[in-house]
Amino acid sequence: MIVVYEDERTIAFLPARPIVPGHVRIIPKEAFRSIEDVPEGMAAHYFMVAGSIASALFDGMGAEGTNIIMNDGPVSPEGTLSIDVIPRKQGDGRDFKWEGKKQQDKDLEEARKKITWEFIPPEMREKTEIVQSSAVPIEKPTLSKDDYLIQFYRKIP
Amino acid sequence: MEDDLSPEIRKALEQQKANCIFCKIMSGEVQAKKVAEDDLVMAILDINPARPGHILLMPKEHYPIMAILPQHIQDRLFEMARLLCKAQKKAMVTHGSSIFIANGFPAGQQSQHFMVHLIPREPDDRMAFSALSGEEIGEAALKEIHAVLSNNIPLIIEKKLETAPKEWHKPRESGGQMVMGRNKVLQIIEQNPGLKELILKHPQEFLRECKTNPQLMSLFQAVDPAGIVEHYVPGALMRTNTIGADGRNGEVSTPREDSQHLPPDYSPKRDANPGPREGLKREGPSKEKKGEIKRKRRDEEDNSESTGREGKGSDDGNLDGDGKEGDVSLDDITRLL
Repeated sequence: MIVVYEDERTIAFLPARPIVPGHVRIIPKEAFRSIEDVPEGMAAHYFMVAGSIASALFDGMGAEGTNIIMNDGPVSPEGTLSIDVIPRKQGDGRDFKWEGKKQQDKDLEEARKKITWEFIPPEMREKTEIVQSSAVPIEKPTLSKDDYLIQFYRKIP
Repeated sequence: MEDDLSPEIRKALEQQKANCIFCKIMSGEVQAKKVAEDDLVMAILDINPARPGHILLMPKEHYPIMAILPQHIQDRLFEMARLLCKAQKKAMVTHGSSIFIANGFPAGQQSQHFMVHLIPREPDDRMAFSALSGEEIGEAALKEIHAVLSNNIPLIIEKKLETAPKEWHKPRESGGQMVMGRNKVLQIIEQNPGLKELILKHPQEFLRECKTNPQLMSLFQAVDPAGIVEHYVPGALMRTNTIGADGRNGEVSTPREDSQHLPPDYSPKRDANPGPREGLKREGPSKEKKGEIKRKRRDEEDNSESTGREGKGSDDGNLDGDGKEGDVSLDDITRLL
């Protein structure tokens, strides 16, 4: 493993099969399976390192742009949470974009309700005055017949 | 960091901001599906999601790329990203989670307002940015990349932490110099017509300069100058062996005072067409010719000082991501050191 940066919390190395030369991968020293396991303040540190590596690729390797991509365990090439920093050039033949699918307003609204609800810590959800003073409108999402918790358990192998 | 921005970039930013749809969303002028907000950052749902529940998280203030985002906003943004990913995973019932950032147009950045994509994921969803493995690369290339990055990353992080100190961090005492890789060296040569001309017309003299001129020495810490000559004038070193012998007998060249300020050129010609090659004649450069180059360089310096400004000013609304780092000249490098 060719290490290009190391501190108390992270290690950054050149993967054996880079997608382009200059591709750097950062992993936390404490291997986290998923984003839920990352303690408070740590994500900011990882991305401070990732942003600095992006600057190093601009300044030292002649990159014209960079992609910073974090994947948590289930979708990561490492099997644990990892961040890839990839130098880009015009016409380098790489394409990371996706085909977006336009969503109906009601579907968007349903997703919004579910996410804002999860974003509020459970003990605060019942205190309506806190919910009401929030900058973002929060309502309890109505659960369909396919309750999402049931869906979640079904997915567990 | 935002204090580093030049007036030209500030002006361009103001113009970008006036046309920015996301700035209008941040101010409430345009409606969006807001999922979280605090005083510095806001998260909304993407109306064309990669997968349902796709969140766009961004600073309320307009910044085109991550590099010019002040550190305290960046820290807040990624702490918010962590909490949102957790909520999003639970709400959308998915196994995985990805954060995607594009810095600059060549990286696929579509909006001029810096943003972070938070995308709920499944292992089998075939998102292109998850296929992160390519071909093995040669040892020489790996060595160069390692030399550049392992030197520069700590320097950049030290510089960042000077302005935003962290309790865990022990500042290092020794300063250091930035090291450039081959592609960066080529970019710098393209931005310095005087230097390029020297390589094209007098490759041997250029190689001698590389051993004595402190600026050229710092530029070629990780890159072999002979390889750069080979890039511009293929075969020059093979054919000019005799000149090399002449050169060794000749006078020892001293660093020139005018090369301390090689002119930055803000409109580099990207087609590296090596131009006229009459300088490849088999005799070494005469004293007269050297004088000519000097004069020419000074002229170019004057020109680029006036045209360079214009080039930047008219760059309105077109800061393609590397707007800041892209325009590095030797002057900037020395300033960095």
